[in-house]
Amino acid sequence: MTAAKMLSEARRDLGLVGRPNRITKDYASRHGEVFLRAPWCAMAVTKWGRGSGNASAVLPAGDRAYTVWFAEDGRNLGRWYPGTAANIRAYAKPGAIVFFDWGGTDDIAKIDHVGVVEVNLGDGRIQSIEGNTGDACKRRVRASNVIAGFWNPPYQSPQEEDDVSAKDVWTGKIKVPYANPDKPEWQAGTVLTNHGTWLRKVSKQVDALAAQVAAQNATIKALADALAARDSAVNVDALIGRIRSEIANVTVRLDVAAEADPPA
Amino acid sequence: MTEKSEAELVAEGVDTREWGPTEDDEEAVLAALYGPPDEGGIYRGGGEE
Repeated sequence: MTAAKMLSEARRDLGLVGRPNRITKDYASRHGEVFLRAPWCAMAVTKWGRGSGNASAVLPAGDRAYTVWFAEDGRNLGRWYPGTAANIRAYAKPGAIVFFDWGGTDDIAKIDHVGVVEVNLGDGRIQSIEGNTGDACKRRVRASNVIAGFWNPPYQSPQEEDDVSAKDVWTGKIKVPYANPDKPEWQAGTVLTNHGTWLRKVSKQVDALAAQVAAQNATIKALADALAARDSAVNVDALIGRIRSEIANVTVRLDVAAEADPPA
Repeated sequence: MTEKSEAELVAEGVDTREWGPTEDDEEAVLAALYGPPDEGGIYRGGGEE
């Protein structure tokens, strides 16, 4: 939801010619066939705003085909700048919605046309992308003599867009290899919780096995001591060493999967 | 007095003079930003990440 995505969406329509076209069809699908062959500059900006995920920033009062209402939306947000060269130089950002009055006034009521600022040329002029300029979508260069004004939608910065909340991470879906095929994706939070439970179970079983091994070692030592008491020829240390060596060569399989897998 | 619909307002007040004056150096500026236009006169490109 950034200005860059707004402009990327607009660039996709460069070269679109005539009407009805995909922009007027998109608008007409929601507002009626009367818009199929209507002037489509504002419909283009509406489509770019919606298509780029910027509807809340670009269309604060909803879809717009009428340029005057579109400009008023920005003024109502307190974001309107009259189209003076000084304002354009200082405040017209890429992604700004720019309005034109071919009569040369800055009067919102007299606005004829609308586009999106792509580049602030730095000399009081902008380069725009416009729908329905000569019934086509093209890049244009415009100056303050025809710019009635503009407003900068409250786009997210790229940094803000990259920020993901902890809640988003927790509720995000991930594929789980051991899941039921009918439901292969689980919420990440569920996976983490289940794995925590599973690890605690495994840890308890490992502790139990370690205790069992310690008890067996003590038993072996006691048996060796008993044998030595009956037969002085028995070397206790050597016997224990042999037994431990035999145990070390045994592969122990920790078979906990069937009982302790995270629940599906 | 009945308020006009958006469609009526668009028909009466939007792009009634479609082209609008552009700058004398428009083609030079666009060519400097994006290179030469395609066969349809459209300056494409730009915005590469």
